[in-house]
Amino acid sequence: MREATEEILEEITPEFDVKNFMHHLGVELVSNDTGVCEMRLQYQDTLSVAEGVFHVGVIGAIGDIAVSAAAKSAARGDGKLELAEKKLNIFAPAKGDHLIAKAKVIKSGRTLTVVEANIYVLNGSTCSQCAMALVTLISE
Amino acid sequence: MTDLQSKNPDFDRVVRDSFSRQPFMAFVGAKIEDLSPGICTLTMARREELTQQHGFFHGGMVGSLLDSAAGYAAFSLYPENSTVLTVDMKVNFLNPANGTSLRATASVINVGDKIYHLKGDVYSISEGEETHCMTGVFTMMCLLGMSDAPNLGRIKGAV
Repeated sequence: MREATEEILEEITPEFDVKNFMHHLGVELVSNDTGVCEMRLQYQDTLSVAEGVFHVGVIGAIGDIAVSAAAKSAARGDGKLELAEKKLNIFAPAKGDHLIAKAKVIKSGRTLTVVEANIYVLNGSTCSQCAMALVTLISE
Repeated sequence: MTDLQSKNPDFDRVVRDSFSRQPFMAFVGAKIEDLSPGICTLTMARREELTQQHGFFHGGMVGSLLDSAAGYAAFSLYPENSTVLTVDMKVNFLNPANGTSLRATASVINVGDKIYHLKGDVYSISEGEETHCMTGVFTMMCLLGMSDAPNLGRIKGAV
């Protein structure tokens, strides 16, 4: 697994808007390798739905960011990948100090890429899965 | 999820009994290959009536097999006197299911009071070679106090 660096971040999030959005939320790259990516986000009140609980939209957002980066790192060409479809299952309210999204490419095809993301919430020393996403991306 | 514990010590018999009473699974020739708390693997052989115009397993067939595997993976954790229903499923078709048999495995990833989340995968097998042909996520409901027997599922308190 590669440790996060500015260069890797540049490689897997080439679109300016994505990085801008990542920075806006406070999402950080933890690690990346071909077809896998881990992102992390610290809790702040502006991301909450209730005191100490991450908004479901934020769970979806960190999932999407990790999914795009994992897909990009497994992509065959330089073409742009666009999110075509996704399903997000929520298991429990995300109450904690950090969200962690781990994305893994299931299939990287010529046209379609299928990526799974498991999203966890860290609350002190306890880590529990709060959501899962299954996403299809299409290459241009 | 690791170390899943069934709420029914008799889960193996209960699940196999329920599976044996599913006419559709019998019709397509599906069998339980493996069963442990929260995990179920089903297999079935290719038959021409179950294929589509290219000769691959019909997509609905692949999805049905995985749905059944997911249902029984969830049901294996349920308490006595309960039954299972699929609430929601989403699948991705990854490759053509053009093998001579299918193997579907589903496992529970989250246990709630009434709602169980699962993921599952189907492999198409041909001469020992396996192709990952489907992945999916499922939401199953645990209907407590409802019988798993035919026609009684909708009657509250029926055993």
